[in-house]
Amino acid sequence: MSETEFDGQVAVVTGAAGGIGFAIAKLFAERGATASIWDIDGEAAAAAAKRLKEMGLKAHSQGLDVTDEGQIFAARDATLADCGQIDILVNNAGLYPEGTIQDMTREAWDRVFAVNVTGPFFLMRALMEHMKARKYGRMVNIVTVDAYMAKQTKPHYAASKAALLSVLKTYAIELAPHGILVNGVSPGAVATERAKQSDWLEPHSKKTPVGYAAEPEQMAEYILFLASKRNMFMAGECIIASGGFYVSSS
Amino acid sequence: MSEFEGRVAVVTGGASGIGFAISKLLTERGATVSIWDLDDTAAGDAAGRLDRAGHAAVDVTDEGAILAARDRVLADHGRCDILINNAGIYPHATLREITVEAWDQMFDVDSKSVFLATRAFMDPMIEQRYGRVVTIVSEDAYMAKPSIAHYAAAKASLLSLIKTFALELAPHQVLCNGLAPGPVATERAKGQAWLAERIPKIPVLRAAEPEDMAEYAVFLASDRNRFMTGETIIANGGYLMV
Repeated sequence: MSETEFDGQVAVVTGAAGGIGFAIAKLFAERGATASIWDIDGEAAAAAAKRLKEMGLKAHSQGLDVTDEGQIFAARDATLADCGQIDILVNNAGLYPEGTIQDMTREAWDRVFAVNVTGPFFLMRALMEHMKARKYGRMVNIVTVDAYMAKQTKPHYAASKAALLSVLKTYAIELAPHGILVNGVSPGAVATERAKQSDWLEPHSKKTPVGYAAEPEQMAEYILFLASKRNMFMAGECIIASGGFYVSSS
Repeated sequence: MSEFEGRVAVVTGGASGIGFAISKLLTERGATVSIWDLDDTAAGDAAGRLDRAGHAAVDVTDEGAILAARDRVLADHGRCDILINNAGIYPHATLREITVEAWDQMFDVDSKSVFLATRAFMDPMIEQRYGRVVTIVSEDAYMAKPSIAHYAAAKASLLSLIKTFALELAPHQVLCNGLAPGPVATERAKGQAWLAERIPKIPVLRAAEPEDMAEYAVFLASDRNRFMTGETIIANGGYLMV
């Protein structure tokens, strides 16, 4: 398809210095957008943007902690000053820590909710007035199949993502009349560099009906589709791309 | 190179409405499409309006007719990469009004046809280790629907069937998914009272055009989709969020 599908658009992707987030930012840039890479590690974000620019693509970077509303406003204002507009927000930044019901501390619980739910809530709020004024926007939230399932090794993570599902639906209702479509994508196993170092990826891939884990680039396709003008009628939904894992487990 | 260059697709009920919009978008993006429809003249006219489109008169409730039409597609093009199960009927009738014949016809056309057509194409797709099956469901599959209970039930049965085909075929790189549209302003729906009544209740404040729906079906049928199977995506302007 046209490599210029996102020409003239600016896409903010949080947590985009590496992993799925970087794959998403890169695909946006390859298809014509300016990729604005937001990450808690400002230097890594700048390095990621530099990599894209060296490929002849349009990129921008911001360091911020998504749990701090002041930093969200600052990143938004700096991006608008540099790029002129924001058409797309991808809430990708998230924590994926281990933990059980028995060993959960209050701090671990709060930290996961701050990054995985509170961050996206305030990020969407910070950008919605700008998008309303332009009568156009696409917001895509990265959820997970764990949001629908019991998760004994990560109860806080699964619960935070289930909360994000609810939050994205509320934003979808609020913003649909303004031409802003808010949706989510729930990935199954994705072979990021970090996941490849883990002991869960291989057994999870074997349990996945298609027989493999997704490459980050494959997962990015779903996010880009929902963020595009090809999507004109979907709001408040979360599509599950798990290689059949969710169907086989539910 | 066009995204669907070299791909061959069959679209059931492809002569009009959403089915035609899907056929048109697939051909515009490079695919060769066989438009199947009960109405041979309409199928021929529709195919005549598109590049790289053929047609066949097929009653999708008749397994023999499906197998014969499948064999012609395979003979003409050597393969079939994409099956769009779009054919369906939706006659309104209350619980009191639905006759046994009407119930059976509904399940034949809107449910059994999907089973028969998908089964007919699954072995060629397994053999080529590639396939995309997209079945058009409806948001009514998720809702109580007193004005058209048999339709809602038949569409609900597809949610299950899509998952079973998905699990069976996932190891062979054949992905099976569904698309559940909300109100679509097809020629047939325009001007009907139910459509006008629904629009103010849809968060995006309009009904979909058939071309809007075609984008979702075509995405699921594309190589961009390499990891989603057994799912049904709902595109209904935010009216229902499950």
